[in-house]
Parts: sequence; structure tokens; C-alpha cells
Amino acid sequence: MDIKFRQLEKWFGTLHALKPLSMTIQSGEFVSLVGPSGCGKTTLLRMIAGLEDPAEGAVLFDGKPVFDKDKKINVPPQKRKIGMVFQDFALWPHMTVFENVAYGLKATGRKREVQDKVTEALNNVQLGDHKNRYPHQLSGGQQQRVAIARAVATDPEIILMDEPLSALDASLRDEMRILLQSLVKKLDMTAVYVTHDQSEAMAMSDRIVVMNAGEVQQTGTPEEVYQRPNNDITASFIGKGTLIDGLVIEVEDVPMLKVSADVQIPLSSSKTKGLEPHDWVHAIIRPEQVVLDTSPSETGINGIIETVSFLGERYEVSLKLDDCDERLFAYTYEKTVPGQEASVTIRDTIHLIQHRGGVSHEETA
Amino acid sequence: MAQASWTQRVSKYLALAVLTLLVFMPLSLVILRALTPEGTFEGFGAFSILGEGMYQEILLNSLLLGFGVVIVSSLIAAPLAFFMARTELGRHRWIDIVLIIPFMTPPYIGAMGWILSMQSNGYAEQLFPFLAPVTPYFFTYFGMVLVMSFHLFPFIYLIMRNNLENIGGRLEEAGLIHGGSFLYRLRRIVLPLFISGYSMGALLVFVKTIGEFGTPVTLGNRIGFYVLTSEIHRHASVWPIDFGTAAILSTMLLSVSMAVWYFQQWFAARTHGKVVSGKGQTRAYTPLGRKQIFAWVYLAVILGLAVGVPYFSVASTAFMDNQGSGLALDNLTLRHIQDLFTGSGLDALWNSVWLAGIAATISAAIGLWVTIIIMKKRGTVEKGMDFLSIAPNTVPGIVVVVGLILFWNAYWNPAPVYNTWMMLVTTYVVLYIPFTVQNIKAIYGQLGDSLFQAAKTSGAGPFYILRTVLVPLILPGVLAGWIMSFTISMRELVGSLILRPPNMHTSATFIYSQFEQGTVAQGMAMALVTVGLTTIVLIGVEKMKEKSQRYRT
Repeated sequence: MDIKFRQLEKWFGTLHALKPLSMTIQSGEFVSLVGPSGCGKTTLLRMIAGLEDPAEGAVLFDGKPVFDKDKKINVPPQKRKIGMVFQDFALWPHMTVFENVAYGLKATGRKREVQDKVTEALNNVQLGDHKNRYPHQLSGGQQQRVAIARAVATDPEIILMDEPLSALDASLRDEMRILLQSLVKKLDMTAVYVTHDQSEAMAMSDRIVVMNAGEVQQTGTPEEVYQRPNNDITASFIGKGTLIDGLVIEVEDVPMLKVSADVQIPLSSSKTKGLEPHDWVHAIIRPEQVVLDTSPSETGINGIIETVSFLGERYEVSLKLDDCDERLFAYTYEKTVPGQEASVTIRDTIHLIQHRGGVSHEETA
Repeated sequence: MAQASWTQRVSKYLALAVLTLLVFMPLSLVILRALTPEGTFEGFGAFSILGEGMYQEILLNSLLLGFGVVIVSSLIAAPLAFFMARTELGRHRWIDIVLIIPFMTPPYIGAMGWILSMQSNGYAEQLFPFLAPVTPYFFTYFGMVLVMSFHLFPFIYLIMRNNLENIGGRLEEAGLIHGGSFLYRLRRIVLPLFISGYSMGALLVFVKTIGEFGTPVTLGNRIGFYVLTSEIHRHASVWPIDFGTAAILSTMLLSVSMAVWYFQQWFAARTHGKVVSGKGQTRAYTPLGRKQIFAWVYLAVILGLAVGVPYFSVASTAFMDNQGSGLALDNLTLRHIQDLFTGSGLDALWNSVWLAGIAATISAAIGLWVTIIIMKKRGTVEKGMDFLSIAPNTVPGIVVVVGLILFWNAYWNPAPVYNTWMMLVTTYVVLYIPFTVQNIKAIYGQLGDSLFQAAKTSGAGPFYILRTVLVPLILPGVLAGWIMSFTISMRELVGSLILRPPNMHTSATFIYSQFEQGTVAQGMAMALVTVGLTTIVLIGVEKMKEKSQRYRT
């Protein structure tokens, strides 16, 4: 079942919680809404569920409006046939696991299916043995699995998830993420997932919607938003890296990104369409694009190592560039120490964001 | 969310109408009557009687009593609060339960117990003859303060203890780590935080004291210490009845308590109302070691005075064959208990049981209804309903009673309620709606919105959610509200005394009239039975609650 928004808009008093938005979520697609808190992602999710009334616009499921301001249509949440997983699990404490999961079936009069559907849903989340327990007798991860089973027990074609993993320990989060991901695909549901954790969104989604201040900044596959962010907000919110200000110049016919008087990063001339020399641009430089060399070199950019963090499989190093205020991040397998001199070279594609207009360009260094 | 359906709107305005009828009308009639005591509008001119010496003295007495009780009950409570919050005694949670007993004892029964002990040739002199020169001082202002302080100190104790516990731990540790000396910490951290909480408790005790009726009407009237509540009672029920003056005095009392109450709300809102949340809080701890014996002795003395003295007197009197013969084993009898169950006492007791049962059921139902409405949305109407449902708890009981007389006994009121048993039920309902509302609200407030949203997205309609999620979850609150209303209604004195229909006694009025001009032993036997019965109900329902709440622990 696909979900379509048409000029959907929401106000909270004077706060423009969601600026007019039109987009379509394809049937069977896993879409994440990401952004900092207060960006409007949860509001959008709750409007899909019917828990929040939009101010303007329409929401359509498979072309049929469940909300339409102009036609005065507002299908209440209980008639929208959706499943929803909440951040705080929202399990009813006075019902057993079985009763929690069976609730939606009983509420909609599908009493004959209760036994089969609940068993199936609980088996899907590996909780078949716990059906007679009360929520307080379960661990956090088990509680969330019950909540997931409850959301899928009625066979909804749409599942909405509001930061379902944020209340869990880091170690449980990966396990639950994989469970959710595979379950949603197995049951072929259209999933809308709200999170403020960009790595979670990238790991799970078919498509990511980056939001900020009630506005969609960019929509695209995880690879697209990571490699080709179209503005600073997306670039800094998604993935690690350094946003660097610079001027496009040409030195001996080779395009360069001039960061400061002495620091220049070479760009290739192959794809400088639309860029004039002396355009101010932003470049997003990801740590994996930065090659660290502990021996200072003539060709590289020199700097001093500031911090070294051990990540398990490698080190993450931050390097302050000589003669300017910028810092770059790099990954290395070699142990280094703060204060050490080093040089870096940039490889692969550097993604450039032009200052005005937000048009993005691709450059190859 | 979907627009409120018309049934919800009807329900809302119907509930508002019920609250208006029960709470708003009586209370506003008190004020209205105070402005027109003789039927014509006199404005504030009516209050000129307050210039008369007699009324000035009454007002002064009330205020003096209030201050005295605040001071004495604070002095009693402070060491206990410290012991329970900061020392080894805190491990014994049962002490808290025992300390609540004085507060749960009807004040008039406590006062009667004290009178029986302290009167000439009372139990105090019989057991400790050397007390004879001291006991007369009990029948003065000091006795009043003492009795009422021993009734109200648990209230201030609980506030002080919670306060000390909250301040403790991290906040003090933070002060310690940042280099504060003990005195500096006390002055800059503990005291400011403590005072804001304490002042709240002190003001509430003050309001409770000046609105209290049981002790003034038993002890105060006996010694000629008249206060606002006992005077209002006199004007409202003793010939020549003068509702005008009763209304003026009620308005007086009402304004003092409301002023204090609002001051407290304002004060609480502007000071750091909430000390850090309980999460991960460590408790400050001052082990007493062997010195804790002093703490235990102090506790024993306080409990002896607050619980031991009144209950010993009540029980001794109830089981004593011949009051003149004093305390002796051969003077023991069950005669009075037997008489109680064969004579008019049984009727009175039974009346109390069924009146309280009906009243508690109605007020729990109204409480549930009103709470569901006011917790769902916070509009103007809802806020008004919230205020009305809590109001009877902030207004002294006797003022509510005067208002009920003015409203239900008015010539234009067609309802045939006044002078029937329905009047008593109405009185109890009005007086105790706040308890049911507060109990239900407390539980409702803990339920996250997502519990209901989860039900909605599961496909449940509003009524199905109400039945399967909301009601089962707040049932413990409803039950707690019901028990509270029932037990307090069982012993309610002021309303029962003034509003009971002719020839109908309740257990409280029975105790009062036996004590004043009948067989004291019969009254005390009734007191024992009533207190025992309500305690059994409390324990029984508590047990039942535990059973039905398996999911809670």
C-alpha cells in the first residue's frame, strides 16, 4: 500500500511544524524520517497514523484519502488499518503478552483468527514461550518485541515506527534492528520509521527523508544522501565528516579548492560544470576519503594530530590543518599520538555544495 | 484527533451541571447570604458584626489555634522526619504506617479520649496520681493545641520526611564536592530547599486547624474556647438559628483558608517546586549507632501520646462496667458492646454503613466521570470542573455544610432532599468527591498517552478503549477513592450532626450525643466499633487490591 502526501502542512500555534509537503512512499518501501529533535518527523508520522490532524493538505493510502482538508475527510486512527510501534513500547500493563498482541484482532472483531495470528506474530519475534507473562516480567528488548508483534498481528499493510530502538541498550539495538528489518520485508509492509539516529536510518532504509525545522531537506537512497547531500544541513547531519568552506580557483589549469592562503585541495577538471572560478563552495570530506601519512610530504596537506580514538577495528584521528582553522577526520590502522605531525591526501569524489541556491556538484579529486 | 462527538460534549456539560449543583451553588450561596444576611443586600456592611468584640475574639481564637498547632505539630514532627529520612529508623517502613494512625483517627474521638484521660479523676490521675496538678491545664488553649497537634502532626511529618529525602544524596554531595562546609551546605542548600516544602505543609496544617470541627465542638465548647467552626455550628443548629451570621462567619473562614491556600499555591509555584527527580538518587545517611535508643524512645513517647492515650481511654471506657470504680480488672465488661448491638446503637451504625456505601459509590462514579473528562482535554470548561471537584477539600467542611443548608433548604429549591437521608448522602458526596477525583487523577496521570494511541492504531474505538484500557488501568484509583470516601463518611461528624433528619442517628452523631449527654461508655463502644470496622474494610480492600493487581509488581 503506498502513502501519498499532498501539500500536507501542520501548525502548532505559531510554530510551522511541517511546511507544505508532497511526496509518495511506494508500496513495500522502507522509508526513514530523520532529523534533529523538533524537525517535524514525529509530527509527520503521527499525521499518517491519524493521531494528529494536519492543518492543510491530504494523506492518501493507495489513492484513497484518509485525510483531506478540502473534502473534509478524516478517517480516525482505528479505521486506518495500520500498525504502530512506539518509543516507550506502550504495552498495556494489565494484559499479558498474549492479550496485548491479540488486542487489535479482538478490537476489530476478528476473534476467530486470534489464536493463529497471535502465535504467528509471537513466533516471528521469538517470544512464543512468553505469551502468559505480563509486560513488567520482560526485559526491555522483549517488551519491544511484544510491541512489534502487536503492531504486525493484524496484518496491516503499513507499519509506523516512532524511534522504536531509542529506549534500548546499544547492544540490543543492533539485534532488534535486524529483526525489524527482516520482519518488515518478510511481511511485505510499507514502513515509515522515525529516528534521530542517522546511522540507524542508513542501515535500515530503502529511502531516507532528511528533515529540519519542518522542512524536507533531501530525499534519497542512503547512498545518495550520504555521498551527495544537497545542502549543509543534510551533509552535517548524515554521516561523519568535515564541512569545509573554500573558493574554486585554477592553478596551472588544475582546478583547486582554496581553503586558506596556504591550503589548497586539488580538484579534477573533468566535472566542473556550472562552476565558475572564484565561486564559494562547501565541500564535505568524509573520513574514509582522507588518507593519512605520518611522514610530512610535499604533495599532501600538512597538519597536526589532535585526537586519536580507538574504534576497535581501526583508529579515528582528527587532524588540525596547518595555517587554517579546519579539522579533518581520517581512519587509520596505525597507532598515532596526539601532537604528531602528519600529512593527508584526499582521494575519491569530493562532494561540493554551492553556497547560493543549494545546487550540488560533483568533483573528482 | 477526531472532533469530540456529541455524546462526549453532552457528557461534559452534564458533568459540569452536576458539579455546579453539588459544589458551586452551595458555596456561592454562602457568600451571597453573607452579603445579604437579613434578606436585603448589605454588601460588605454585613461584615460590620465582625467589629463586635465577641466575633473578634472568635476570629482571634481561630488564628491563635492555627498558629499554635502549626508550631507544636512541627516540633513533634521534625525529629521524627529526621530520624526516618536520615537514620537507621528509616529502614522500618512500618513506622510510617503507625504514624498515620493519629491522622486517620476521627479528631472528635481523639479529643474525647483525651478528655476522658485528663478530666478530674480521669485515667491520667488514676494511673499517675502525681499528674493531678497538671491535668487542669489541659482544659485550656494548651489542651486544644495539644490534641489537635497530635492529630495533625503526621501530615507535616510526611511532608518534612519526603523533603529531607529529596534534598539528601546528590544535592548535598554536589555541595560537598564543591567545597561547602557543613554549615554552609545547611545554610545554602538544605534550608532553602527545606523551607519551601515545609512552608507548604505548615500552611496546609494551618488551614486544616482553623477549619477543624471535631475538637472545638467537644473540647473547645466544654472549656469556653470558641472558634469560627464551633460558632458557625451554634448559629446553624442551635436555637435561635441565624443563618445570616453563620454565613458571615463561614465567609470569614472561607476567605482565610482560601487566602492561605492560594498563597501556598503561589509560593509553591515560584519556588523550586520540584527538587531533582528520584532517579538514581542516593540518600543522605547519618547513622546513629547506639544513640538510636533515644530516637526509639522519642518515637515511643510520641506514639504513646498520639495513639496510646486516646485509644486507651476510649477502650477502657468502652469495657468498664462502672465508670465510678475506675481502672480494675473486676470492673471489666462486654456489656456496653452488647448493648450497642441490641439497642439504638445498631441502627445508627447500620445507617452509617449504608449511607457511606451509597455516598462512596456515587462519589466514585462522579469522580471517575469527571476525571476522564478533565484528563482528556484542558479547556476552560475542564479547568473549571477540575477546580470545582477539588474545592470541597480546600474549603472547611462546616462551610460546605452551611452552603448545603442554604441551597437544599431554600424555599425555591423543589427537590425533596432536605431533612431526608438523601441530604446526608449528598453531604458526604460533596465533601469527598475531591478524594475520589484526586485518587483517580494520580493514577491516570501516570498513564502515558501512547497507551491509548497504541489502542487507537490497533483499531479500537473510543468506547472499546475506555472499557479495555482506561477503566481497568485506573480501577485501583477508583477503588482507593471509594474506600477513602467510605471510611471517612462512616465517621463524618459535622455534616451528620447538622444535616441529619430528625430521629436518624449515624455512628458519629451517636458517639457525640452519648458523650455529651448519655452513656459515655456506649459512645466509646461505638467509637471502637466504628474505627475497627473501617480498619477492617481498609485492610480487606487492600488485600483484594493486591490480588487483582498482579501485574503491578
